[in-house]
Amino acid sequence: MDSKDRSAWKRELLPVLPGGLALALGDMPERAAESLEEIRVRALRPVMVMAPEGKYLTSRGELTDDANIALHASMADCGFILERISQHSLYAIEQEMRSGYISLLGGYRVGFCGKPVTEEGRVRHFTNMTSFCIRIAREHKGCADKVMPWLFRAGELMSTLVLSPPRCGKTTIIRDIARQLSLGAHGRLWQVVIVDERSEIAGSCRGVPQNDVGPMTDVLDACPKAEGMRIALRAMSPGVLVTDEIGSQEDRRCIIDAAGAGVAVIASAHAASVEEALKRPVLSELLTEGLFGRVVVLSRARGAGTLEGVYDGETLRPVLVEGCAS
Amino acid sequence: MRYILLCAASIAVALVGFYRASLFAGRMAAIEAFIASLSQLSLLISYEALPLREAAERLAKADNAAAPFWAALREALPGAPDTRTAWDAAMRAAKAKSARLSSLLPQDEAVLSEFASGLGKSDAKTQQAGVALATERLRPLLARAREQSESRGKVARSLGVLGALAIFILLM
Repeated sequence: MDSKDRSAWKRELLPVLPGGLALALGDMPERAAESLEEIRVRALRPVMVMAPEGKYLTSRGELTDDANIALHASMADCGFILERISQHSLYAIEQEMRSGYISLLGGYRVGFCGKPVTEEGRVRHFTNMTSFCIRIAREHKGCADKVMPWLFRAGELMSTLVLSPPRCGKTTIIRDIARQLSLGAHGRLWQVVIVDERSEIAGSCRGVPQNDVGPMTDVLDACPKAEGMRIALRAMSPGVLVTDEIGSQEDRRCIIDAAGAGVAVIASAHAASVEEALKRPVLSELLTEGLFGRVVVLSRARGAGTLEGVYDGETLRPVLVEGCAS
Repeated sequence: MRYILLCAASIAVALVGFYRASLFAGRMAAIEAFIASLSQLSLLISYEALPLREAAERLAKADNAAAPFWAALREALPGAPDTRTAWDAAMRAAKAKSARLSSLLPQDEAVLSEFASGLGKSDAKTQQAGVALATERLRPLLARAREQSESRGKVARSLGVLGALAIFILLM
């Protein structure tokens, strides 16, 4: 169940889109609007919506497979989007821009492509931004209900790794896990710290979480993961650390530090299965070292967030096999 | 009755002179205020990364000639397609309300408008460079405005007084 109206994005996002595109999206069929996941705008090319399959959008709001009759975005449209999403202030979102995305009020995230301007080998900012991927933020409160009982052993929370390919609901489920722990689970209120490098979990806008992450949750927004985990361990005395998309050796070292400090880590990573995760260097080390007590695997088999199974972190054997939407 | 009309005409001529002088002083005050505002804007951008609308709101609270402009910019930004459009609309609106801003010359406005075309479109470092460039271009205009305010302002005031006296003597 979504916490907010499924078409709330129209109210919150259409004002940042140019007139023609906003009108077309406003006229989209209600069912498609409710399941909309992404809007892709590329200069001089047809506008595409993922609802959840990719379709082109016509100027009358119809969905089509024919690119020739689709609404095409102009260079001016891209300029308009950039001005609006940055509130005419690109300097205010410099750090996010270097990462290739901008977070909007309401928890929406706009990824973009353009020509990066580099300085000493690092991206300083972007120019000529001509591609935008607008991700519709949706909270699915309760989507972690099925996995929550499996995250505890003798009342103790186990570190958990959530695996799935992109767009399968990893972030959504770890957000709900954070929320539920923060609200109280297994007779205890958990002090949760989210290290939200890409502002996707809490969807913070100017430091304020736009998604419900629970009353006992602190968010380190747009903070590099490893550095954020170190800061959280040092300064916030968390009971649980939550972070997204782990995969580097530095992440691994921080997870070892957290385990050493008795802090459970709830993290996600790209992999379609445990077998696939074992083929990735850092993930395989994390799994074989037994740093995670549980591994949750998600897919899109029956829609985003389909729970494929919950695995024991030590034996890597399934403790729950599902295959149904969580 | 004749003397009353004579006095009124003389005072009117004197006031025209003083009004002309105040325009020179107004232009100087407006440019000075913009230089000060831009310097403050640079700080708001680099240290607080404050979005432009909020920065304009902060600058509108200053007690200087540019404050009405920043208040108008704050209002114009949300509906504008880009910063330059909002800036130009705000300048028109502020000039209609403020005598000091209406004394800005086209060359003063051109410098500010060119600055606006890059405002908010890049990182803080480039924005600071933009502010520095605009300030550098405004300084000679301010020097000229100050010079004009002193020399031509004095001339306008003197001509006003002399004109008033001349009218009084001739028509008496």
